[in-house]
Amino acid sequence: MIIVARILATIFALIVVSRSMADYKNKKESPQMTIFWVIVWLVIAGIAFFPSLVETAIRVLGGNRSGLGTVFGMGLVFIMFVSYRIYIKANRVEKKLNEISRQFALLSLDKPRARTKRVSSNRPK
Amino acid sequence: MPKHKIHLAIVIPVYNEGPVIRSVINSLPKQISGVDKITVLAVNDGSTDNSAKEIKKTKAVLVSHPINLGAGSATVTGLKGAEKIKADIAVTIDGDGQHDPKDIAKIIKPILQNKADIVIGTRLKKSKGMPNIKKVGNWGLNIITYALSRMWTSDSQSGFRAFSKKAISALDIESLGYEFCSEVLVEAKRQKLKIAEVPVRVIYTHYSKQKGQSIFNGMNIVIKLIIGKITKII
Repeated sequence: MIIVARILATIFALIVVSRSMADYKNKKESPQMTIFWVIVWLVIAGIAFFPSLVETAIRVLGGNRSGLGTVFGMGLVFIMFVSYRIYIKANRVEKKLNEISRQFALLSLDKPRARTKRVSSNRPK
Repeated sequence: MPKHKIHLAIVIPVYNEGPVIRSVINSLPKQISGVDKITVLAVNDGSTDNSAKEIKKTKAVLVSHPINLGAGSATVTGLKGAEKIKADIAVTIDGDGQHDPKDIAKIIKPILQNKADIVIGTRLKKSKGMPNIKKVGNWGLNIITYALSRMWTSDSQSGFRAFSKKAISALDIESLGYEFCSEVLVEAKRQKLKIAEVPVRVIYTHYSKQKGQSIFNGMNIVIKLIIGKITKII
């Protein structure tokens, strides 16, 4: 079971890190977000290979025991964060789509004379 | 209101209202006391039926969304259109024929008299014929809208509203769906706009009852309002 988790974590980490780097190169993602995702996935992969890191982290943070519940709790928080990010991104895309559609729709209210003028000025002489 | 010629824009958000939209537009008043010019803006919100064709048969100006975005988005497009054609007042009215066009004169009156920036045509003071489940749903949404805006209205979900020129340019609405109705009030409070309510008659036909909002849509409105509030805070 632990081997499957390690393989999955490695595959996911490689996919996400490479996507983040590609998005950063294409200027679709900010440097801060790229660094954030790279660190998050390196930590996840690290925990998959060295689960004792969680114990150490809890001791450092002042706790005294960790169980499966702690790991699930951390996972749940992470999933909630990812859901929130997806919601924000989807919302942003929806707003942009809405704005483009609105601008397009309102073009019909431009005076026909103004539109004709613009079209004719683009014609080759 | 300044003593110049008053231009009124009647905004109708339309989504698949093919069977009735022509009669709704044709029933709108051609003249209103205190108004010099009336322009009807029908915003076709990506209808998949013959709504656009039916609108073209009328004197209304057709504004079309290329895709369906939601009632709130269509209404805001109509208000932006009203701003673009330099209307002094904009009235929004549903495309399913549930509002009585004769009430338009009543709901623009407080704006003409400089007593309000936004006027809500409230259906709950003359709610004869409104199904009880809708009355309960509307009251529930009134309470939630009050919690978010600290502004009480007896029909926060009414689509029959009038907006002054000041309100049209001041409102910054982000909602796309029916949660738009509540967001207008939240925004109005933020912008310190004056709100008035006028009782309007509601015409519940078999068609308008079918087209009306279900209780599940009401739940959806609540969820979207809460998420919208949280994301604005964050």
